Amino acid sequence: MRPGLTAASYFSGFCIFVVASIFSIIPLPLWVVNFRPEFVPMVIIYWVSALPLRVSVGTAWFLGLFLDVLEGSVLGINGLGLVLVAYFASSQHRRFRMLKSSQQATIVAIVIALYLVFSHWLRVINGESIYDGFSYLFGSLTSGLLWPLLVYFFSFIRSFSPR
Amino acid sequence: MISIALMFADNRFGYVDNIRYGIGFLTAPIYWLSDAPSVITNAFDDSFLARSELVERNKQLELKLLVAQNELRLLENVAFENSRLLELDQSASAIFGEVSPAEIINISPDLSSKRVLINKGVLDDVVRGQAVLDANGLMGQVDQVMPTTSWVLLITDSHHQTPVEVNRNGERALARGSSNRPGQLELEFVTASQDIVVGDKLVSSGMGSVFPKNYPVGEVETIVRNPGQNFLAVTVRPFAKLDSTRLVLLVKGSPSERVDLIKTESVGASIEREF
Repeated sequence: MRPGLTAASYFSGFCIFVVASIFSIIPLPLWVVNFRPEFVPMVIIYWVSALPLRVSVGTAWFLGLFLDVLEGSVLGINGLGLVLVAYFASSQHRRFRMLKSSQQATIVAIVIALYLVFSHWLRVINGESIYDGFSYLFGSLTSGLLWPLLVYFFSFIRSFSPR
Repeated sequence: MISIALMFADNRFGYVDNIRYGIGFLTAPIYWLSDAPSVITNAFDDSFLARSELVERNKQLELKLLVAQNELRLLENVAFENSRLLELDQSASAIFGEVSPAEIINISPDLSSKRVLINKGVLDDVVRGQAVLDANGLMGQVDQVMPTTSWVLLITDSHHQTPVEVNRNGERALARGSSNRPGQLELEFVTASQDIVVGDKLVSSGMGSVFPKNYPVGEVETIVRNPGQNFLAVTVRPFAKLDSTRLVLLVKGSPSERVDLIKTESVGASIEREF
């Protein structure tokens, strides 16, 4: 057990996930809905790249299951999408951590765009959503723009934990 | 692989309702938190209303109640007469089903799926398939139930079809949520020979026994005749304020129970019971 991971870190991790999932369902005005940043995959990318031994594909799958119930969608859609995100992050986490913040943001935007395309495709297959344009992809742009802020926020939180 | 199996199981067989139910206990506080901003603003509005305003509003509401009660009496007579004329025992008891109030606390994050979350669940005896109404018309039906919340599929969802009839002449049709005009309904398979004109009021026909009979659904807004197409393109504006209402009514009893009720009770008895 690494010294940094105490009950407090698990608790803060839980709180962060709760806040991220609130952001993913909170009702927004119609013109911002397509720009909703995808905080849950962003948080998973951060966790996987920062703590690759603690958080991995399995965690992502369970969090996705929770998100499915929360959004009322067919069980497994978000799970599958988040598993892909987590797999990508865990296979590339060494390279990813070396990158500059702006480069990281670009990659996050691309990965989240893939996640959105994939989960939208699954929703259409499951008859839950319909195909109407690519406007839902704007969410990946806002996610990429918010990535540096998220990293800053996480490093702020981690500065409290004992080293 | 597990995910794919899970999706398949959920979509086709509903095996995993128990899993959903279990996780539903955990999701309730998150819904509550995400609804908190609007609850707080509403509470502020309520507590800062002046007394005179409250008195004024109370007067208005009493007046409205009076009008509504009068209309209800009228409706009761009409329904009674109607059922006697048509010798259909069903209609009267089906309109006046028992209802229970609920509140909309969230909407679906996906723009193209028209669903809302209400604050009543299995613990409040909500079952899948219950009809949901608002003050102006039909809203939708309960799609997924969780312990304290449930998702309602609105009639404007492109995967939802409502059996309707024209209240003027009883022409029947299916109203499907429009996929390219959000917030509108489209009538499917209306032939050129059917008697439907702009301005016709549509009510639920009670077929499929999900929705109560004779509840207002919407008004025909446009009819386009395309030469070369077999069917008319009919768009309908729903009466229910689907995107601005917060209070809704749940029609009590599962659809099959309601059918039993209709079959076993005579019209007179049920009307006496309700009023």
